[in-house]
Amino acid sequence: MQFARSCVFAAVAVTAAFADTPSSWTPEFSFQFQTVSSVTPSPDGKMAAWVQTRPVMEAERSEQVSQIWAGSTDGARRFQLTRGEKSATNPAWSKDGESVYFLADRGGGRQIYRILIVGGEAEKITEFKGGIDGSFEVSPDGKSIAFTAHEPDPDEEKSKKEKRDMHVIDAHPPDDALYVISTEADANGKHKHKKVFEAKYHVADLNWSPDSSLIAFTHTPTPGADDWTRADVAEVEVATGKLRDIAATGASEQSPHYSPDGRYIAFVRSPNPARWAGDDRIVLINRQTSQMRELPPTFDEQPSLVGWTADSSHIVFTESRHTRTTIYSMPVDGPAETVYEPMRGIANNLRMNSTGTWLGMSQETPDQAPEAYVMSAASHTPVEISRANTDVPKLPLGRTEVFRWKSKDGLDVEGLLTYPVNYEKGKRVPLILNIHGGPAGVFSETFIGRASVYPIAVFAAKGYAVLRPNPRGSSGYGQHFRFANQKDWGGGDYEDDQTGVDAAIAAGIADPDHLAIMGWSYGGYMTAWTITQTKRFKAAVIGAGVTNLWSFTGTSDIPGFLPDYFEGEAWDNFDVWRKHSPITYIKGVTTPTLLLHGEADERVPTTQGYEYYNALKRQGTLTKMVVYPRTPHGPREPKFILDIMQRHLDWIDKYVR
Amino acid sequence: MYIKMFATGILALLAATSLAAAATWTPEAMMKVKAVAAVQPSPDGHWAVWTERSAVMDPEKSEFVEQVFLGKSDGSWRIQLTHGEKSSSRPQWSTDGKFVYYASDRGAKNQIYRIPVDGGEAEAVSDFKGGAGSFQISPNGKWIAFTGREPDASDERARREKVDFRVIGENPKNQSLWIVAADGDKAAARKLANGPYTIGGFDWSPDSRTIAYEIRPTPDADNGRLADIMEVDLESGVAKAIATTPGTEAEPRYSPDGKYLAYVRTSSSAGTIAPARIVLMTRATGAIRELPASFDESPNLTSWTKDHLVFVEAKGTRSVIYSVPVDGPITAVEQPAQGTLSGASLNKAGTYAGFTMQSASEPPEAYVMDLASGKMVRVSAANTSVPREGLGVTKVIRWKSKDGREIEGLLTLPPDYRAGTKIPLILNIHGGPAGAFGEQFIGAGSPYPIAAFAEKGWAVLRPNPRGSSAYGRAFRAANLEDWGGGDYRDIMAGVDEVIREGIADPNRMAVMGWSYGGYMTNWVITQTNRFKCAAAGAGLTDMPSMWGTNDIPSVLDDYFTGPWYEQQERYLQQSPLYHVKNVKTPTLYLHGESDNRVPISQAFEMYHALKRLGVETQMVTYPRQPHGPQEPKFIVDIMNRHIAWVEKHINPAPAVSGN
Repeated sequence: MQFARSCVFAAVAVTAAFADTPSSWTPEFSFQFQTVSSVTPSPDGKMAAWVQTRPVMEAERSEQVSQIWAGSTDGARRFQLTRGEKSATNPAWSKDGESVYFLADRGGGRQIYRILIVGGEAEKITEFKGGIDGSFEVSPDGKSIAFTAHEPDPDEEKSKKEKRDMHVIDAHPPDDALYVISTEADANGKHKHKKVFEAKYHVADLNWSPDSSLIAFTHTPTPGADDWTRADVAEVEVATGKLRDIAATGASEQSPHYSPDGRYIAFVRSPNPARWAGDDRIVLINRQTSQMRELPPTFDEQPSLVGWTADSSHIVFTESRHTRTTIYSMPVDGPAETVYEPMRGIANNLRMNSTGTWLGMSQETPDQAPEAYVMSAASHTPVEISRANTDVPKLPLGRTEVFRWKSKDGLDVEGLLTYPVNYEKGKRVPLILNIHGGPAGVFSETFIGRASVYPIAVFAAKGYAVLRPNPRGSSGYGQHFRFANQKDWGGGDYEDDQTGVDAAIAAGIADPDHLAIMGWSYGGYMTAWTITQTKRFKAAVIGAGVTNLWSFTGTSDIPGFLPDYFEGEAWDNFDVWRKHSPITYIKGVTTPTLLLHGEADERVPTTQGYEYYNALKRQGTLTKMVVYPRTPHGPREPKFILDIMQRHLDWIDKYVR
Repeated sequence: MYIKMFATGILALLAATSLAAAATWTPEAMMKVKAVAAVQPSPDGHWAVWTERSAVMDPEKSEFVEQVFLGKSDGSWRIQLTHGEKSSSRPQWSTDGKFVYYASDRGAKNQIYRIPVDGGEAEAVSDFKGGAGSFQISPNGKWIAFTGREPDASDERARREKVDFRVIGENPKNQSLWIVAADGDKAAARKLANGPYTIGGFDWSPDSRTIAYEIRPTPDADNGRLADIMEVDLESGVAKAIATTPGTEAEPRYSPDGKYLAYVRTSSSAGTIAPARIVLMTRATGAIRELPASFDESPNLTSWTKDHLVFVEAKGTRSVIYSVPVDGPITAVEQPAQGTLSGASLNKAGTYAGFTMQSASEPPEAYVMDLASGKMVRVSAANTSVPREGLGVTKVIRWKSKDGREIEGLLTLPPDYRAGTKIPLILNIHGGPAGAFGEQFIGAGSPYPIAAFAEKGWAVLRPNPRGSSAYGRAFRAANLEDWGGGDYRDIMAGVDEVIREGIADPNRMAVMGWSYGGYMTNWVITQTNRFKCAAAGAGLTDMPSMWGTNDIPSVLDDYFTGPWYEQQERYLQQSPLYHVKNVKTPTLYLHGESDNRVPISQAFEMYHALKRLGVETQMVTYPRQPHGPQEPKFIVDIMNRHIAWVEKHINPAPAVSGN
């Protein structure tokens, strides 16, 4: 939904068996690690299922493959539940805890499958033409599965074949509808799905009522990325298809969750109109009286709801808090209480079991690769249950710590500073400034050895320090901080970044003559901006960066985003939009600059890269641009991620070392 | 270049098979008009070959297929020489007149074939892995020279292994010059010349010993202006530079006596608008001499007669074949009273000329002219079954612009138009800006279905405002630093004129155009609300982003005097997008998804702005299509959408009687 968070950091990657272990960290070595997600405890909390994802880079393949694992929640036992070349994802337990439902494309598009925990192969439950592109949820009585998907347009295939495949823009959005299917086969051994209702909108997420008679869901005019601001919540009676609005104001209302006692629906509501930087509240609607009550604001005012506790007394949610993520619970009369905050690192991908008694999550720290954890709602103490990365050899890692400084105007800013491996105190080293996307993203304490576009561990192994600031505009520091860059991109946020570099120099760590800068998305914007403002950096790498606000807003899939950040349309604020565009100051830029961009990027179209590249090239500035076919805003194919890691290293080594 | 390149796209869209009994000019019917090209008289002038191109729109096909035809020069007999699902094109006669060579992609890649003219099927004479580009038979008949690029095995492998990232500007797809025996002995082709450049057009010396060829650093369109000329010796393989100034040197043509090499030189850096001159180089001394300037200072060289150099140029809405001796003034060989001629070529002896002719009311056909007598005969019968009824009437009209400059354009009126009747008007603006509307057949399929509009009761005005080609260099350069200024006023003055004459109903007017014509359409709707609707095809909207994303930024440097970051105010002020707040006109956007000339992002910028402003708009994109749409089904769709859009916003039916 946001500019960079979901997409940019979706670029994380994972494991392949490399025969040899290098003596120090390399980009290839990072691909030995797996990522862990969707940790889902069983209804009775005795077992959990989760997903492990690894990169496959053999011969002609370049993809992430996910498989489902199952294990006991005491961490004693685990096994791989699904197998095959194709991914299996989204595990969900059956009511009796004997089976796991999941999504996989094993022919005929992505379908829902069911596999018994005690043994045997998976059986296909759905036969949905074209595959299921949405999500699914098992009903509390275990008898049905609801899912969102859209039927393929029969004309689409035909028109393609007949070469009449022109597109009328915005004319036929692929709206998902809501379907239900019985978990038990009929007399003919078939499962038949039924569309619950007809509507002219896109159904996004869904939640069953405790008595399994109703489904609450979010709907938006289209699935387009710009339309989340117009999300509303409605409820449908499954048997009749009768619809009822739950929350349908000009605000964005999303993520409905029934309380187990059926008294409330909790959902998340934005201000009216919605703000792209995020400013959300948890709202309770009393289902008897239809009265709505806004709960007290949460720390970061961007809660992600996880579910209700079994006794219907608390809503569990998660949020960023500084460089970590925290799990909270909110009593129905507020305010929120902290359930769990890791000492270091992040607790991610939170899930709750269907009975509201156990939580599942993945955890990682800068020097520990992710693993799956579970926690009973009562204990507040996570137990490690996976061994996704335990067998990967240990190589020395640079130390990462939280680094704090005062910005030019006195604002307290912090970031993550990773030191070179075996750093000797007092020694000045080359420093890389790495800027996150968003702008409402945040650098949190993730594993620095992961295979992502920025090879932090490799830089540290090669003697670089890496500073990852969370300037004003970042998430994790409260609503006020996040909104502090409104109408001011390249202003205060730029000063926050630069004073961070100054602080690293003042601390005797960074060598001011050996500085580099790199960032993706809004981080690419800030990189492009920075080298128009200062020549202190010897090299720059711009990944999928915004360079011209005017042309960006008219070509991106989120044309509503900048008019919110800049508080008005481009044509009403001509000078402001120009003033904050890096391209306006391109004349005279001399920093050697590498540009990297996905060719299928709809968020920040490749044209943003070309505008900057061609202007640098024409001026004779050292520059290179590399484009990646099939690649959206965040690179996905592991071979491309590897290439991007290596190019960052080569470019910065060449000009900064 | 902008438009020239674009225009080849669009105008190459004329198409198809015999027009059935259709009484009306529907888009589908218009697609049946065939394009005729590559008319080549035989060495003795008694025969000619040419190509006819038809639109194939079978269930799963949407393409143009070109076939080679053979006929007598007296027009008494003709046959279709090549057949098949794939195109055969660029026919050339063997020196003895017994074979016709042509290029076809009927195999895996494009290869050169030859077919005997007295019966029998074709045989391949090249077996080149990369696919052959343009080719030419040596004067002694022994060799065929062609341009081509060997396939890069690593490209295919990178794609398969998914490491197919591209570093912009690296590994340009440069072409080399190759030769192969002309007699069908398919010994491997021999690479004759290559270097850190791509090879374009070339010409054999009369003694078959050397080839003069154009080079430029890469095939990128923006490098066209960097063309130079080199010459390679066939026997030794030694290549030398012939003309390598910073200007553009192109179209080398040896004189039959071997004394001269003629070529076209554009000396100024402002390549798009700069004057192009014919230059003669005395081969023995290397001395060069510029020939007198031609009318439009943008000659297209055909070839030599015994002692004259023949070239073609546009003049107003028509075109002229000229010839020039090595030491004398330019004279017109053929200047049609109406219509245009294109694709001229001479037989080897320089005694006969072949070309395509058409006019607003006559579809294209192949013609052969005996240069001695000036007698001209139609040799093809490509479009003889195309009906003439219901065809609008097109005339050249002239008006004075706001500053007194005389402007002309084409005005097409409905077939049954009665003077004094006020009818709805479509203003159609050409690309370029250095393009020009010529007198081409209005019934041919193109994005703008002129004949269909006329039959439905619309008048269509197609102005050639300042900045157009075909009116001399000063006129072509009169829009420098002034897009949307004088050109816009020229166009509006034309509309005013058609209103003043009592033809156009000022309350029922629409505006549409492609490329720069799309730019001007976007500009018009930011300047006036007089048009009830608009349709912009592949149009420019935001000049700064255009500069940084299109494949020929140098052209904008020419017009705006520098890159955008040096001339920010000018680029901004002359961008329709920066005036978008004024727009009230419902506007349709049409754009090819593979357009590198005017990237589709240009249309999205304006479309999203209109949507957010609440102005009625629709955008349709066409997969696989470059700057000019190439698939016939899409061209039909574009025609139908233009008609539906204007009919949605303007009622064309009731003609309002004038006072």
